[in-house]
Amino acid sequence: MTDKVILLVEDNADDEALTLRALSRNNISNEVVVARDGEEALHYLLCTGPYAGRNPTEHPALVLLDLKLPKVDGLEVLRRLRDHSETSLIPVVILTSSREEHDRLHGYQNGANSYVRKPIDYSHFVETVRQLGLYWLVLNEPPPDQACHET
Amino acid sequence: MKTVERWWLNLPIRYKGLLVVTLPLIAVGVTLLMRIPFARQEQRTANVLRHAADTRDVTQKLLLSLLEIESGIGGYSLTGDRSFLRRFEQARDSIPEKLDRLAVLLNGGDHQAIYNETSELVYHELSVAADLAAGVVSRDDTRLRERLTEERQVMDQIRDTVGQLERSQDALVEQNQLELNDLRRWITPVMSVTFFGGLLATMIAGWLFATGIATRVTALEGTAERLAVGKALYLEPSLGLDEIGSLDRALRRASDLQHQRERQVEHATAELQRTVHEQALLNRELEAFSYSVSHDLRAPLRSIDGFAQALREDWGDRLDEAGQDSLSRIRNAAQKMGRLIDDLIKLSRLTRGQILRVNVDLSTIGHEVCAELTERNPSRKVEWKIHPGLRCSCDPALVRILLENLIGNAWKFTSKTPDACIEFARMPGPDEPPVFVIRDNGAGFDMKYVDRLFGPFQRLHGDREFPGTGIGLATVQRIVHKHSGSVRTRAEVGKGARFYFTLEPSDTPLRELDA
Repeated sequence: MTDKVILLVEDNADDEALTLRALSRNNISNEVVVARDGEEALHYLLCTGPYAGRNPTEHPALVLLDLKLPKVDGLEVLRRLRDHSETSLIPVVILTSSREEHDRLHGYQNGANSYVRKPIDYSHFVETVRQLGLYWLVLNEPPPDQACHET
Repeated sequence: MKTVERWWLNLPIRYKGLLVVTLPLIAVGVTLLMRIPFARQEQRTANVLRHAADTRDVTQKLLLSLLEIESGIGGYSLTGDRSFLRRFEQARDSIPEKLDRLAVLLNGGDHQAIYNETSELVYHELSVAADLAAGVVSRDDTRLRERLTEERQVMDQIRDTVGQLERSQDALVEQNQLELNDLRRWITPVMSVTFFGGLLATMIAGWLFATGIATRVTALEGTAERLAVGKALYLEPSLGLDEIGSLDRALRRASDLQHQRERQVEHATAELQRTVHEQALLNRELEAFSYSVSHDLRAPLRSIDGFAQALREDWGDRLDEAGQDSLSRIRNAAQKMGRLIDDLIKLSRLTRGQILRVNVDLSTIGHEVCAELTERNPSRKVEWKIHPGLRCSCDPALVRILLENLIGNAWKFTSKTPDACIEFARMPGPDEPPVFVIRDNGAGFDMKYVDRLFGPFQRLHGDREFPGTGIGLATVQRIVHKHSGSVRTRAEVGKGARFYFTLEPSDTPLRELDA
């Protein structure tokens, strides 16, 4: 489990630093790959562009996805992710500032596994990340490997 | 013809009707008037006839009496028989009466002269007869013959005179009859023409009147029907100045007015649609704005709070108490701003969408709010007076927010009051819609700041005294306004506050009872 990657899609450098800090403070030792916009996230997940050489059978254990992103926004990333059979089952947690009904609705409609709002209080945020790590990396059983099911 | 037509159209209907009714009366009247000279002539002819008959009667009787006298006196003179004398005397005595009657009949007329002559002759005959009767002349006397001859001559004269009289009378009668016949000859056709002409004229006038009115009323009916379904009226020329014409013009005015109003309504509707469209655009902009606010303003706050916390965790041992305090203040400020943003977004969300009206039990919501507050701070002792059966037609979700704010305020502002008491009740009285009140005996406020109370971010108490964002009462007011209700408040510093509200539209402004 621990060798699996967490993909953090986050354009804000502060939020990136704080999220990484919260992960390490909760002793989550998985490698964290950071994508700073939607396009980069898609390149990584679909093994294209700068990530063309990546092993396409190795999927991240969890994608932490912000919604407001440069180039391709979070919901679009999610939609394309779910369109590809190789990536359609990867657990995606939307981690965002927005609590808008529209965002929540479309997040779930496009196949998000979870929708978590970033609290302002950092102590709460650390606690939130702890619970997410506990649930998605420890308690939750991941989907079976997609490589064997490819057509 | 045009002038007559226009006159007829402009004549009020009541005069038209009067005219139609009067026409036969005029015809009958003229016919009757024409009968007057005819009747007069008939009367005159009848009089002449009667007069002539009477005269003839008297003259015949007179002649008979004279014959009696003649024969009586003749017999007596020749025989000396006295019975003849008696016949003479009888006849003689009846003469004056007959002459008198004749005098009355012929007095002053054209036959006065004949009468005078006749009466003279009769008296002459009588005197001759009297001489004979008295035996003045003996039987053998030649003078007797002379006298008898003379008497006979007088009698012949009288007969002549009477015959003349009769002829004259007959001529008069004949003339009158002729005149009557003449009159009859022309008066009968003229009367017939007048009478039947009058009848015909009446029928024609009546028919014209009835059909004229009916045609125009039918036209009016069409006009009224077009008006009723809102079609434009044809611009026909107006139908005269009588009652129907007035009605027609009134209908036309109504139609004009109707079309004018329709144009106004169309204009207003277009205006409204434009406003609605603009409102929708504005709402979309506002939504984009609040989304941006909630998303973009929160990110730096998270950074501030997060890095302050990181600083404390990583370098806390190198900071003294003042440094730690500064870090706490930074984090408190960031968190407070976060709450402000959240409240503001909630407030702006309240303005969107339509409210849902159902029958809501406010007492139950009140108890739930009270339970939440008590659970959050179980050490506080507050006397709750939430009246049972408070019901209202309103949006349950919004009203929960309203009660959370008002009861939450009462809870907050009684936090420093011993024997705190919070009451939620309906104002007594038959007020429809119901007026609800939330009373507390907490800190209250100065009524001179009441105007600022319901504005967003307006606070009458320092944060250190009573914490808050200043959004609560603005939210309350917005919820009340969304329900077309109203909200008022009364308060006194140190003696508590009362908030009155209605959640249904009312004609009268909210009374400030129990002030």
